[in-house]
Amino acid sequence: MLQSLRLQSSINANPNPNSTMRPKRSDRESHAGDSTGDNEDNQARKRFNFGRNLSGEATVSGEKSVRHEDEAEEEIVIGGESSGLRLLGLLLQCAEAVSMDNLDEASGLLPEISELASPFGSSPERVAAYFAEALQARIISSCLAIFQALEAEDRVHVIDLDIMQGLQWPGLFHILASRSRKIRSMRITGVGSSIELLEATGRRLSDFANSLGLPFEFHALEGKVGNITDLSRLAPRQHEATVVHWMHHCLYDITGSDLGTLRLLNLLKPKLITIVEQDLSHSGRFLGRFVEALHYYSALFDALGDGLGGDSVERHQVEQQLFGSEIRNIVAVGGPKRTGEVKVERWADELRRIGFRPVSLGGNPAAQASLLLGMFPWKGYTLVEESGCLKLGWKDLSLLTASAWQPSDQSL
Amino acid sequence: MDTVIYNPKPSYFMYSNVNQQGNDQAVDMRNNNQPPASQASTSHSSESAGDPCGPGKWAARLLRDCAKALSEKDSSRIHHLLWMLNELASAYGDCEQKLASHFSQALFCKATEMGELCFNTLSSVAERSRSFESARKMILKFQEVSPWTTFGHVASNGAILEALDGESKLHIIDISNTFCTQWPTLLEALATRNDETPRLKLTVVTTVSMERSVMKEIRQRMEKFARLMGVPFEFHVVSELYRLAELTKEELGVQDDEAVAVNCIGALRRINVKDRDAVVHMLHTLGPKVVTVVEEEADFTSSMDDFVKCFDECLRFYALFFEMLEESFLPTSNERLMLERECSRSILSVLACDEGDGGSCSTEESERRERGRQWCDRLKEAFSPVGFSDDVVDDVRALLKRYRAGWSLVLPQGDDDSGLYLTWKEEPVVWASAWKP
Repeated sequence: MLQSLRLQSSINANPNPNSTMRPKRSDRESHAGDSTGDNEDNQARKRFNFGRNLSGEATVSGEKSVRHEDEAEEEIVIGGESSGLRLLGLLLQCAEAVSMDNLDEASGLLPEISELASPFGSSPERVAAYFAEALQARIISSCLAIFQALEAEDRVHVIDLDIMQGLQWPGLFHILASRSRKIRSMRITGVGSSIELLEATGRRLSDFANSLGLPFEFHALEGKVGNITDLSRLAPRQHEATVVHWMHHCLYDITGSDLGTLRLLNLLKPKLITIVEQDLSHSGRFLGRFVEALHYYSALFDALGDGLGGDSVERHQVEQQLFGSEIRNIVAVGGPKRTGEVKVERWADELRRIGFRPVSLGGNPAAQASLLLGMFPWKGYTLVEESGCLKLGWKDLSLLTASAWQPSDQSL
Repeated sequence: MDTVIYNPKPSYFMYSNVNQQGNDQAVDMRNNNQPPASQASTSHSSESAGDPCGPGKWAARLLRDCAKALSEKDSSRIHHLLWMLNELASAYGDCEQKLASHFSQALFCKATEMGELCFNTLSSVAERSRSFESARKMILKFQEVSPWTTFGHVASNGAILEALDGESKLHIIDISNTFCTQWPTLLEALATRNDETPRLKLTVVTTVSMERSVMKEIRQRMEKFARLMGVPFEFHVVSELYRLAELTKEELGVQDDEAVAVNCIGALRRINVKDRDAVVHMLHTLGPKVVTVVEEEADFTSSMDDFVKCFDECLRFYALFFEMLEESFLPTSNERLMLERECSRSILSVLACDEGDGGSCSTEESERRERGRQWCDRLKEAFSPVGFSDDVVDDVRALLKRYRAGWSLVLPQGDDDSGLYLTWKEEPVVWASAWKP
């Protein structure tokens, strides 16, 4: 499945080489939580420079002195003298791709990382082995989830309330195209603030869908969905399932009038609403968090390596059985409970009032898989189910809260 | 909830009441034999592996169920099983977890029709990181801990030396996956057996990628060793393995005054099934005095059109192979890891890729093994079997004694079969044979 996502890269390639790969908008940069954005990334890279002992072998140690930025970049990107450096550079690149929702680049890097990694090698090789495996597992399971979610549907209408580059959808297309039962129609209505961007996104998605032989329509809706008065374009067609994907950004307003949005949801009665809310009270860049974890486990593996011999079977078992699982948890799902407010409580009442009830994201795997549509599990490290919501977090910090809602009179 | 951190199994978000399971799932970290994954499977659903505390072969059951679901196109079942396998698998865990990892990758690619793409990516990545040193380490270590490959070497060398005895100009055409590790022993024998040391020309038929990555060093070492042994020696490389059926005497540099031996170890299975008979015919045109064939004892060919049957056989063979690897190598062996990765690609090739029929989705390589009996049927079209002499059989027995218990030699009973079988825990695993025109 990893490789299937690669297909996107040739087709999803941005036609404008000058435009930024990052889907983040400029106004996000001014957010309190994100203000140190780029700077934080560079800091993270510098912090993760390897020290070297006299024999030239790379070792990972704690906070190193901040090196000149160019030198730091070169070490990580070119790989210096050690394949360990190169390996971790690749892993960082992969993490960066994941942080920007660039799944196809991420999955393109993973095979090489996996090949270079080994649970029986140097510290970086061992750390990379478990992180890469965890990332791969996550990408695969998220693809499976989406696939499964749409299995039963022949006609789907996705309304993405903040589509931007639409990078989250090609993976879904590929899954739909691979189904044995052909989907009859797939349409995406993308809402956004710039009609140019929307049209470019639409063209890209259409091209990709065509290349897969997928019947596809794209509709651009400029503006804020809460302010829309003419709903005819959003109206469901016969036998069509409507799914609303809604990523909230608390510090800026994309949907416009809340009441308007609610009214819309009430009218549309989508089969599924997926809501992802960013908990900005504890925000931080993915990359920073990922690097922190990498740092932590590298130091741990290093320490284990010093304490026990190179070929220590015990060390391997501890790393594989204990830390491997921890890392998997961190990159993926599960983990200790999070504290942090559940912002969706605010919406809970509203949604209930207009006739929706929450679908618990606990429960058996099959049902759960079907509800991951549109979410970003591959971006999360700890995903914990609490009161029916999924909370995405990093160690003790809650980053996102996700919930799903369906009409009260419907059973899943 | 604190106990969750120390639980070696991943704690799934689908378990809404972890406390309740905390007690059930508590795992004794000191019990290394317990596959951690089996803990998870018991609380999943009724498809889980039987006894979590026993030697449950949970991987085989889940994998077979999934293969069956694939052949029946039962999408939701496929996804459910792949989901579970994905959660439980690990390429770095125990045997069950490894099998789950490699086989579920193949099933996933088959389900999403991404087999060729995935295989090509994995192959090119492996090729990029391959070096002479790494390949050499892997092969030599494997030979040190297991007779899996050396069995074929000793049998073949023995048959070749006997067939070419007395000849002065020898030409061995080597179509193998052995990286020439079998030849030093032969060179030594040539140098010491008789008073007259014959000339040896060695022509290695391989792939372009192998030539690029390892042949230069192999050539240097072989030439140096031959010099040391005092054997007049020539080394040639023909990087046309995938055109084997069409190669000619001229392309292989076969001359009329040479005594030719053809050595095929683990090579015939890499030829596309539809070309195999043609290859046998081509070998005959070279006029060899002896053809030695060594292959692994598995059948991925006759069931090509029956996915479940092919899957079962593939799983049977590789479960055995992985178990053998686990028992032969140290637990922290990088060499074993490399071998496992090769297996992973082979499994992908057999289960998720179509045989080359000219389509854009086909792979050049095959990995479709056939059993000794099947190769016999093919080879009998142009050759007749030569039994191994008692001396050679003794040499093989002596070889096996150098390894751990569990390995033995089986001679075929009837007239139909020919060749020798290497068995591991009573299962025939490798077949070696010799043929003459």
